[in-house]
This record gives sequence, structure tokens and C-alpha cells, in this order.
Amino acid sequence: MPPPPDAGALERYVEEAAKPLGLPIEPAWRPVVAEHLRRLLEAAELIERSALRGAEPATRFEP
Amino acid sequence: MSGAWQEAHEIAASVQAGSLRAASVLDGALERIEREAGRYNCFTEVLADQARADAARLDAQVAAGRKPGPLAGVPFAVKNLFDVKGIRTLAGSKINRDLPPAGEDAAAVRALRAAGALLVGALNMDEYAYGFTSENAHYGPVRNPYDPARSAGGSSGGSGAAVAAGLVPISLGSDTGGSIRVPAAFCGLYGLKPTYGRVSRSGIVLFSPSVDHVGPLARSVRDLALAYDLLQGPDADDPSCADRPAEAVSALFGEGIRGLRTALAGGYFREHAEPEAVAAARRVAQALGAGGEEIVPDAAAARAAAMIVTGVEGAGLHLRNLRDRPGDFDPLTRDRFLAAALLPGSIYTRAQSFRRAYRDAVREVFSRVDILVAPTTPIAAPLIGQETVSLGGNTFPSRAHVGRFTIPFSIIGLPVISVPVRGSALPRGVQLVGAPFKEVQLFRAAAFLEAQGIAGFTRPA
Repeated sequence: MPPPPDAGALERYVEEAAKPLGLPIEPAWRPVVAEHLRRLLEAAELIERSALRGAEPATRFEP
Repeated sequence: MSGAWQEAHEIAASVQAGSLRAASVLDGALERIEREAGRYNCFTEVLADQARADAARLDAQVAAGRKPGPLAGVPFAVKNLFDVKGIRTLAGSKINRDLPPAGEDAAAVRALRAAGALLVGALNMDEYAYGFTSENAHYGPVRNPYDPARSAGGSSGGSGAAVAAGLVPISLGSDTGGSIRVPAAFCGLYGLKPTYGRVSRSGIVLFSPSVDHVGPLARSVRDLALAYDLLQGPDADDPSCADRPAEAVSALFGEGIRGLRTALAGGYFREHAEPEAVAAARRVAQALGAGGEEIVPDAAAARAAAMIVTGVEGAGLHLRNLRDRPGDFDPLTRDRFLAAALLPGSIYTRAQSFRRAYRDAVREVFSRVDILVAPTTPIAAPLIGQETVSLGGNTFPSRAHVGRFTIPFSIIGLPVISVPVRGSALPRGVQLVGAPFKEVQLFRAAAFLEAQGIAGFTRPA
């Protein structure tokens, strides 16, 4: 599930999700990173609302 | 004609004929760079010694009666994400200063140098090509030759400014979401983003491997074609490169636009833009005899998918440095990479699935037309440091908004030429968009527009 969209929750998500990935996101950066994440989630929503459906992703592994 | 504004094909013809020495052309270029490049902050490295050695070899070759290549004696410069043997490939970053110098030239650099062109330097850009304004925290912003308070566009901003300022006639850039077309538009130049896979990216620092392209910027269609014909073709060193022969465009200008079906891109490509941007596209469409408008289906979702795909692929490439030295990134770049690194993988996969469906839907449009016409950018060059832009009562983040009209075409790899449209106070570009591997049709249309006086380079005051 995507993280929830309100700013406080997004900042908490940024703080928590960064830990297992080893990403040292400083507290001062969190609001900006959260805002960029919100835009990406909005972008994902826009794609979900599209009628265009692809059966398989545009990149494929060719052995 | 002064040396600053001499076109590449004119220089090459004179050097080939023996009436102009490559060393003399080079001296003029280096003198201009020394005098003016600082005003626009467009060069990060000048390669005078190497270029002088190349020029001396070329002049000796001509003196010995051997025919030099089609770009004989033409100075050029490249965005600093192209490998150049012996110098560090910065890609606009501080982090890459710690890398060893490149062991060989990128494929595109090799191709132009083999044709006799003289590489004079590396050019400033957005860090890791992730931006549209070339506002770089490490190396400073690239300034627009038409108004140094404004952005030269990005991410290939140095590639735009150096050509528009008359420092070199040709440059190379890369384009993931618009990074050749945007600086071309803001700097009043022609810029080509070829079909994905048409030009080798071997030896460049990638930003988003499934979307990155390489291409030229120039002040005339003929020079753009000359460079493109040398760049295109298969390359086993770049797995994305298409295995199809080059299709030269330089000899086909005389064909005009007879038989070309053109349409203006409607809907999304008219919205949230300055009226002058829409008017410029309409003027170009009319000049090309456009039969009407075509709607590009789901262009907004395509831009959304591109945001996700490029952000996630870029974050993946830089993950180690995001962990180990995040403070060494440009904050404008770092914070977006970090956000993309935290995005669930399922969202990336969904964006890639959409991309395939969108590609198929746009293919249908190109069964009805050969060329789509759209503004390159919704606004003219913003001021350096400008955060927002207001259009029709709506406020947008200006840096991201610049790519509104370019991204929906590069995410599916379509070939596009941005042509500079005459008649506006600040430069504006209009995109000619074609079906995959149909670059020749775009060049025919661009040459027609140039001959009609609709498009063309205008020197900065």
C-alpha cells in the first residue's frame, strides 16, 4: 500500500522507510523529501485513473 | 561573417578546401571562450591543448592532400556527462570529482572527432541531468545568452548557452525528459532528441537508462543534420542501441514537405501555457499545412509515469552515494532521488506497464499523421532562482513545469526536433514530433520552416 498522503504521515513514512534502506535522511530534509514523495504518489494515482492498461511492463529481461 | 557565427558546414567546407586552417578556427573559438564563457558559466573545462594538437594534425593532413572529414576544423563542446579521455566526467556533480579520469571518449565524442571536429571543452549542466534549468549548487547556474538573469534551460544548459553565445557552432547534450529540447528552446537553437536507440549512449553517465537519449544542438538545420548523420547507427557497446542501419538525412532537405501529414497537438498541449507558446505552435502547424488537431491520449498520465520511471531508475543508480555521502549531492537532486528511493516497487512496475499501453495508443495517432506539432515549453526561460510560475490563475513549480510538453514524448522514445520560432522577445521553441525512426521527416519539416523564415536562429543582442 502506498503511504498515506497527509504531510505529517508522509514525513513519518520517510523517516521509517529510510532506516532499513540505510538512507541517512536528516530531519531538515524530511519535509522536502516528503513533498517530492507526495508528488510521486499523486503521479501514481494519475496512472491508476488512466484507462490505458498495459499487460506487461515496458522493460523486459532478455537472457 | 564573423567566426563566432560561422556555421559548422561552412567552416568544414573552407578547411576541406584548404582556404581556412583548422588552427585558425580553433584560435578564434578559444579566444571567444576565454572572453565570454564566464559570463554564461557554461564551460566546466576547456581542452585547449588537446584541441590544438587535433587541429595541427588536421592541417597537416590537408597540406598532405588527404581529404579530412565532414566536420573538419569545427569546434564543438559536450555536456560534462560525456566521457572525454583524460578528464573526469563530472555529470554536474561534486561526487564524481573523486572518480579517475575517463579512459576513452564516449562513442558520440569519438564519432565527431573522427569526422575532424575539434573538442574544445566540457559543459555545465544540472547535477546528474536531473533538472530543466541548469541551476547547479556546485558549479553555479548556466546563464542565458539572451538574458543572463534567466536560465539557459536544462539539463544540457551549457550545451545551449555555448552555441547560442557563438562560442561553438555545435554541441552535444542528453535528453531524458527534455534536456536537449528545453535548452534549445530557451537559447533559440535547433535541438534533436533522436528516437530511443538511434544514437549510442556508450560512455555517458546515465540518468534513467530506459529513457536516456543523446543528441546535438546547433544554430541551423543543416548543422544539426550534419552532426546527427555522424552520430546515428548501431553500437554493440550500448545495449539500448537499435540494430538498424543509419538513415542519412543531410541529402534530403530539397524534398520539402510534400506528402507530410501534420497535425497540431491539442488538449493537454494547449493547457497551462503562456498564450505565446501556444501561438508559436499554431503558427508552425499552419506553415506546415496542418490538417487539424490530434489529441495525444493520456499525456498527463504519461508525464506522471515518466516522473516515476526516471526518479526510481536514477535513485537506483545513485543509491550507494545516497547512503554514503548524501550531503555531497545538490539538494535539488538529492531530495528527489531520496523520495524516489522510498517509492514501493509496485508503483514503478505499474508506471512501466502504463508506458507500454501509452506507446501503443500514440502509435495509432501516427497512423494518421507524420508530424505532431507542440510547444517545447509552456513558458519562456524563467529567472534563475524562480520557484513558481502563474498561468491562468494556477501556480506551478516553475522548474518541473518547464518539462510539461517534452516529457510525454521522450517517455516513449519518439524522435523530436525543437525548432526556434522567430518573432518573440525571448526565444521559444516548437516541437516537431515523429514516429519512431522517422527523423528524416522531421528534418524535412524543420528545413522547410527555416527556409520560410518561420524558424531560425537570431543572435542575442
